[in-house]
Amino acid sequence: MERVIKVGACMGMDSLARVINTIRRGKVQVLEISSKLGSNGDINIVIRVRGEESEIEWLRKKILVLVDVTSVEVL
Amino acid sequence: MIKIFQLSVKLFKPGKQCILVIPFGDALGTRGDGHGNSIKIRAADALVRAMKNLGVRHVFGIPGGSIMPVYDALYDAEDIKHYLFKHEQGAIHAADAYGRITKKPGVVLVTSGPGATNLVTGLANAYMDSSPLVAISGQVATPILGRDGFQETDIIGVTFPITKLNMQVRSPDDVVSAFTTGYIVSTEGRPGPVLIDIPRDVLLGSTGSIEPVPKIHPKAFGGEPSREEILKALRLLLNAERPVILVGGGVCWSGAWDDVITLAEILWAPIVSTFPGKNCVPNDHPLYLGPSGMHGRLEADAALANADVVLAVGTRFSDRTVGRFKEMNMKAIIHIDIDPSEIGKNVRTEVGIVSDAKKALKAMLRELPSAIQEEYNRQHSGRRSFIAWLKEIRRKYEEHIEARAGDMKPFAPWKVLKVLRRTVPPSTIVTTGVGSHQMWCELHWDVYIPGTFITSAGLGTMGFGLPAALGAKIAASNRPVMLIDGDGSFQMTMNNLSLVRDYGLPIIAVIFDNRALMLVKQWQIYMYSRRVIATEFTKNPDFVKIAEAYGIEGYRPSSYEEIESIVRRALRTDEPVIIDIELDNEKDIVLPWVKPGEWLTNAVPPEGLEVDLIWKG
Repeated sequence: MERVIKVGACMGMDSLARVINTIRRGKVQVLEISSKLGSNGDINIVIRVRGEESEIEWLRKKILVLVDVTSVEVL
Repeated sequence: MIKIFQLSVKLFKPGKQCILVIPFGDALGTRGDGHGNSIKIRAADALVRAMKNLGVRHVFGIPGGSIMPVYDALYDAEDIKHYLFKHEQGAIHAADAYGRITKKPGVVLVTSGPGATNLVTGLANAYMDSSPLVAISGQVATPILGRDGFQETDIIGVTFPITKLNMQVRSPDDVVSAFTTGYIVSTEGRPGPVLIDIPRDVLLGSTGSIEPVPKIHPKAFGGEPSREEILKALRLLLNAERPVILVGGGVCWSGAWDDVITLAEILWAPIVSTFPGKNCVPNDHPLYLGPSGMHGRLEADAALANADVVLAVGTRFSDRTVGRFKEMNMKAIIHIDIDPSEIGKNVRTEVGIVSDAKKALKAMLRELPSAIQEEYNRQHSGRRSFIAWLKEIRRKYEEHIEARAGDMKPFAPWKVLKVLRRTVPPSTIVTTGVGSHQMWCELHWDVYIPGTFITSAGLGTMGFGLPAALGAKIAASNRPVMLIDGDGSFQMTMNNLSLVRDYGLPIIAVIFDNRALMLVKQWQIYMYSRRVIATEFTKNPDFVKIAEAYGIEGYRPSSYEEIESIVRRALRTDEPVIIDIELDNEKDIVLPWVKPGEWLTNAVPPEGLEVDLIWKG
């Protein structure tokens, strides 16, 4: 199934790299990544993935535990 | 300098969800000149003063061009002792062990480029074993950054996947905040390593921002577990026929061993552990059966394999512990872990409790009414039969290896461990390298006091043992520290032996010397049709002479009694010693063994031992 993972974080490009490193290790197919950087390190990342529900849920939790991530939503 | 300030990117933003101000007070002990004017000081000095005020007393490292401002600041810091290692890998393993003993992050200082890249194995090791440390790497000056300057490496890019947090500081004003953040983050929640990369000109810059705020803080996982989850878990445990408690490393960090034991005694549930979990429960408790998994005890494998309900605490369900996930998924699993991403990662859980181990176990004990205990005790006498069967497996195994001890000449590795165990005090801290000696320790070293066994479990880093022993001795100078190493593992970091005399660190080093990379050779024998290649050393250095070269007594004993005598003398005189234990590299095969991908009941027992690990009731 396809899902969109929306991530909010507060360390700019470093947060993006950390999230990508996490996603890269998941057993999902990444279809699209986009991000928008605000001032002071705010960043919103949107990742469209295809994979099993359980794997997407694991990714959600794995991203959530990243220190600089402020929110994760799976749509 | 102005340019630096203009280029600086604020790492932290107040008011965000990820920010938490920790009441550390004024970590620098000063805010101004007393007349309302802020004092500007060199960022490197501010960093060292922040270290001091946060309680850092020991740092480990090697200086170089980019980190020199910090070393210059340390020159005046009488309260902080620096330990000069021979290689950065040694420094970071020492800091790792120091953190595991003190429960405070070990601090490592290295320069840019190779200094920083030499940390990579140590960071990955600490990350895999959830060990707290803060590594500070110097970096080339900001005008050169990204231009392939001399000794420039993008260490942030390199270490993203092996750090809990990493950050490059671009402004002198952020140096103290970054360190304080790293110091807190490394121990909060699930511990882990943090790397802070600081360009040389930033360290040399002046700052008035000396207060350690704001902070990025791990989100508050691991609060009070819900009563509903606790009750559900208890119902499963009470109704189980063969409940088993699987203890992981998280129990140690949480200090929850008493609660594990109390619960096990009430439930009459055998305790098995992961390899790091061996360090988290007194191994001489009657309900503790040992570690399960690839080089686990047969009785522990049998317990976990035949359990109907498993209460797993502070473990990530490594393949090394459970062998195969398919069979584990057929059990009812209650999983307690402070890291929500561990719940359901490798096995399907019936009840997942995101919590600190101690909090969750305390809640379980609180909710376990005595009436239910009595009722269940009457109904579940079958658990006693199960435990008796497991103990019988243990008896058979112990008798079998004892009868065959004479076949392993000059020494049976497991018997050496028994001699060492009865010779050193229970409080002795033991560190290991990685290899067959480590697996013998997994099987036969009894941890009497939780927290006294330090090993590289997750990453399996050969060379970890010696620097870890040095770090442990620095952390606990009043306790004996013993390294149990293999000759292959020892030779990977033995250059750090010089610290024994440099700083007066009297460790006991025992080398299991089989002149081979024995565990790999074992795989070649069993899994690659005995096609032994690149695992046997044609000639080893003389470890007794190596010892002498470093000003340490070295011995090559010829009997178990001699080993005991050497160790007793070293303990009595508080002198370091290296003991070279020669082993037969044809006989030094670590069994039992669960081959990779096999289920626990398929453990290969020692030759000649017949034992069925499937419970027939």
